[in-house]
Amino acid sequence: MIHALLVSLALTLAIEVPAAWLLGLRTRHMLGLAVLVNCLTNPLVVYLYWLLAPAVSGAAVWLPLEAAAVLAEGALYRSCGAPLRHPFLFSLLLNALSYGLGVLIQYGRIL
Amino acid sequence: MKKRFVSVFCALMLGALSAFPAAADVIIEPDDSFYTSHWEECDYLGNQYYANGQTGTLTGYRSPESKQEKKTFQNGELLYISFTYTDETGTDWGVVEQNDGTCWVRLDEIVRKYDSELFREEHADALAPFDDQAGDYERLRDLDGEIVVWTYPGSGESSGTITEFEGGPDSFGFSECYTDENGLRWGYIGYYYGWRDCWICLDDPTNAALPVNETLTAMPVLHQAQPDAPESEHKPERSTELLLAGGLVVAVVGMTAVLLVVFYRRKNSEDLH
Repeated sequence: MIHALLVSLALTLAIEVPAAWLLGLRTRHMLGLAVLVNCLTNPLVVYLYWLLAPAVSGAAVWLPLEAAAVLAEGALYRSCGAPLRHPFLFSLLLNALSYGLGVLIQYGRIL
Repeated sequence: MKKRFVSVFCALMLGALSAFPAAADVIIEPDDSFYTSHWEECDYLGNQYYANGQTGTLTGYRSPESKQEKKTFQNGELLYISFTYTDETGTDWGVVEQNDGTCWVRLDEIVRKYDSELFREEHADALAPFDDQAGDYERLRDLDGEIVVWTYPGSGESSGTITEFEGGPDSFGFSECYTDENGLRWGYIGYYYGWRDCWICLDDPTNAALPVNETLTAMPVLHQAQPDAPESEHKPERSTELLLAGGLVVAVVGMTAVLLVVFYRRKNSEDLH
């Protein structure tokens, strides 16, 4: 479980921080914000998924959790002064990217 | 800029969604998230087993790695195990498929139900290649009434009936013949129109009440429920892991929240002034 949490966080940071740089968060200060935002939401989402998955299956678990993560991250980017015109769209894009790549990696299609 | 943003997003979403149908197109595979991500390390089994936990019940886990409890079976419950997986410690696990979902059980806590495969292994010396000297094919094809298909000779368990027998030496034919303790001859067909491991009593094919071999069909001796038995070895490990992970998550989230407030909210407030 702890191993899964660490791998998930590392993978998310490895995908989302460079993507955040590509999409406009260019300063070290703002990339630090991207790291902290993910450190805040990712372990919580993975842990809650792990707790809820046996009782509720499939998209009924991950969709609300991912949606909550997108909203929380968008709100954090906005309230912490990230220079983004659309912080929620930015958050949605990063989460879609890391989720999609995570699925592909899990299914063994990339690594 | 906005259009490019939306286009890139749509392309990524399509890419992510396209991963799902490919994983679900093999319908005989279990609909289980752990199996889906570890299918290359799983081996096909496809047999029925009795639950046989040490304390009278068998625990079904979410996955061999999470060890999170998902279901409890009473010893003696019949389970279909489709695939197996061996974890890092060398423990063998099997995925149980039921109507309400899947779960994973330890293979050393289940006992295989006697079936045609075991019967053929145990009676290998008594099985003879089938020959149609007695004209069985023609007799079965011309028979009035339904032919009873058995799971194995003496099982007392029918897997269905055949109204019009279409077997012959060229297709759906008997490969082996067995003569039981009552002198009845049985023919074995490996595959017949979707059925696997079919046995037909050649001497009494329509009789649905043939004698049962009590020795073969006897329920195996299973562990009994023990009121004072210690909890499964997984439970302390799982609760500890759950608490540890929960504590770690709370700590990381708490520290991150503090860092965000200190380095970002305060700084931005200062910037505003």
